Amino acid sequence: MAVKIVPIPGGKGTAFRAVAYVIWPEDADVTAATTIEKLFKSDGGEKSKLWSRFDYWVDGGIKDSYFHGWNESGYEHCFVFKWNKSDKMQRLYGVLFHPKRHTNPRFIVCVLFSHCVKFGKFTDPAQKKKAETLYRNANVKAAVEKAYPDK
Amino acid sequence: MAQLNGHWTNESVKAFLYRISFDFVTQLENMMDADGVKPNELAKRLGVSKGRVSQILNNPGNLTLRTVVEYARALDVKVAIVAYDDDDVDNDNGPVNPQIFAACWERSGKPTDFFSAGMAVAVTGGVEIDARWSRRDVPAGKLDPEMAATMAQIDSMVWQSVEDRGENAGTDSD
Repeated sequence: MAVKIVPIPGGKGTAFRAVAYVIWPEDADVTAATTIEKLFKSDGGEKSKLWSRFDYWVDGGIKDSYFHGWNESGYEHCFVFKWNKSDKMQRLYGVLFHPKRHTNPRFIVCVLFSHCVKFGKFTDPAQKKKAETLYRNANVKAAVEKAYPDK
Repeated sequence: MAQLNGHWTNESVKAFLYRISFDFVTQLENMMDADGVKPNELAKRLGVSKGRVSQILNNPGNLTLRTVVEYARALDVKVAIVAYDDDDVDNDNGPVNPQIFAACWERSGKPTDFFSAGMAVAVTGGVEIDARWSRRDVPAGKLDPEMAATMAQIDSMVWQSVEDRGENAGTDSD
């Protein structure tokens, strides 16, 4: 199955930002789709908590306790949305793309790829590396450009 | 995938309520961060446990108006309930974040009455226009003709009054 980029269901989009997720069954590290689709079907507070964070980022909000990227060299394209469930630190990792370089260069889409529970203080470096790998993957890039055409 | 028209807050009143409550507590947290107020300090001011404050900040879905007022006042700020028309009748975009309203209000010089907000005109010692007749942003051509005629009549009264009073007359506020 080809790589597919899907806008977050029920999510808000602006001229500047959008949140999406990647479906890529062949890649075992790409796990976000299952979580997002399952959460979206639920009617619990966890969905509201996460979708509110998506909205806040899309609106241009800044709040490290909800989401953030990394300034660290080599990991500039990695992004994370954070929330807690039953005292466990839930994390959705994503990759930042600028797919409309000609028509709207400021537009950023965060493509979520991985859901995991974080243990300890520091982010698993594998997630950051995976984000950069996906950023450079030609199939992913093409799928993002198809979902968010530069026209 | 579940089918949903428009924004996720269309799913239920509960979802919409969660979003606006989330926006409110995010505003509070930003204020607390800016002022260096820790949750235990806020709990002390409110006379509640730190756990209760954390519960409100982390799970704001069941906020009551009383709690909203109590938490805002504990941080020395006020709160308003604002109804607005953002031309999004199907709610494709969800609620407008209250920080946007607050920023616009601050940029407008923090008006605290209809006069200083330019919604009503008062003439010194003369005609006072009730805020009921405040101007509204109505797209060209969509203003009700009767309302347009009434507004024109009021404008005429106001400016006639100003002219009659010469230099000593003026508007308290424009």
